[in-house]
Amino acid sequence: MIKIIDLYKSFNGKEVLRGISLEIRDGETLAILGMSGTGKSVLLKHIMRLFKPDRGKIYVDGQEITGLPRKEIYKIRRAFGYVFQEPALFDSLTIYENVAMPLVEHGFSADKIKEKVKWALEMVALDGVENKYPDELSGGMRKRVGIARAIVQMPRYLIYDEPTTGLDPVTADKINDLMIFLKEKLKITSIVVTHDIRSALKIADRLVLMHEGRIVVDTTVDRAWEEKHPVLKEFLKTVEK
Amino acid sequence: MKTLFDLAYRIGDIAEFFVGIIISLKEIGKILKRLPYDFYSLGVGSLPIVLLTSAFTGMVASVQVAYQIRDYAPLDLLGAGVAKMVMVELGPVLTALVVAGRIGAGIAAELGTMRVTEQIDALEFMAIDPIRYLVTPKIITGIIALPILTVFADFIAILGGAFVSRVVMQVNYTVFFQWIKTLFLPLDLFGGLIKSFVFGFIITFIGSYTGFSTMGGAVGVGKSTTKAVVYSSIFVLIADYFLGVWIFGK
Repeated sequence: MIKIIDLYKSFNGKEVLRGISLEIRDGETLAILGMSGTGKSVLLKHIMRLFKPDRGKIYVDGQEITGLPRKEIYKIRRAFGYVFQEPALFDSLTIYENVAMPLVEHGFSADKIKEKVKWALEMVALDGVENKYPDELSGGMRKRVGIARAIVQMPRYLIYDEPTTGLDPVTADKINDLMIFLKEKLKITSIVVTHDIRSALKIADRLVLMHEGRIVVDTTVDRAWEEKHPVLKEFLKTVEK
Repeated sequence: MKTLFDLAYRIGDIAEFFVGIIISLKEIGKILKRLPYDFYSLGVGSLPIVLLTSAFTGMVASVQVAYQIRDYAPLDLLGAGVAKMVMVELGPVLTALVVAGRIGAGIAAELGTMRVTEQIDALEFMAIDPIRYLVTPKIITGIIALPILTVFADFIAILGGAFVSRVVMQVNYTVFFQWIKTLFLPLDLFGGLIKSFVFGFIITFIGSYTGFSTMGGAVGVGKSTTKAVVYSSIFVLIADYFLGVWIFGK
């Protein structure tokens, strides 16, 4: 479980997070919605402890992480997989090497690496691309490779940063289906930051709306339509009930 | 006040980056695995341009030394003059400046692009120290490769100088090399190589730091690349003066 308590963060005097408190329960898929610039990605980078908050605490599996030294943070991070908006693959490495990278760096044996990479690529329905380079793949396939790299170490938490942004609706829907499949198959706790309400409603158990650095709505998907917040209403206007 | 604050922040940031490199040496085994890749792309890849520039440097050094000494000393001493000029100053400094343009810019562009496309964040999130993975191998490559490149540069420059001495000044090869041997001091060669060692660090450190601290997309990468070349060149020349005083000024 991840627990965030009263988190504040400013950059150059501008307050980006203003007292965020949030609990992410084991096994659930939480979608964090919000318009651009509301602090969603900044919140994710705090959970990964890339940023240190000005104030507040973050607990991962009961351990407070905001004050941990770098070495301890790296241990915590191994419980996470992170899927970037642009998949952040290494251009000079093949798909196999990209997916294998965390395993190679963390000292797995060659046989184990081969087995795990094969499994991860199967999970995201990619076959025969091991020897290709990222720029030889389509946007949707690169996204899948990013997901394969994120799950290859069997993390307990999977974080998706804008997973469907920039994809055509058909490919975006395939990525949504993949996220649901992974949730059911691997029982991973997922956090999805998005401004794609269609995607959020399809994949999430719970919705959180961030607005101006605060959480203004915290609800289940089923009850989202009953919420009165105008920004959420704007989001919901774009989809059919 | 803001400028002072920015300066203090920058110094702190550079110091933290340097400490990060030192700490990463704890995982020297993993660093050594990355060395062949960096050594090939940074070191071996720089050889052709270094050899080309050093050949012409030696040739022009020969013409210049002849012009300077012709009224005071026999041209037989040309070889010694060219060799000392090349080993002490021209070889290390011009190699460093050429390498600053190629490697310094290359490192800044590579790391800058990785920064703006979140590849460095990806390493962080996979619990891989990006300084250990990306930076430290390049710094070690720099401090090993630059002295080696300088030895090649010195050698080719002296050959270039000998060729011009023979063709233009009619000083035969035997005399040219005999005087190099007679007046050779190990300090000339090793002093120059100590300079190269330091220049190798300066170029790769500045290239890595500017690349690592890139902000703002493609424009930011362009700015970092320019900064890497400009700052590397300036610091190479500043360091050259102080090292020159320290090594040869006694």
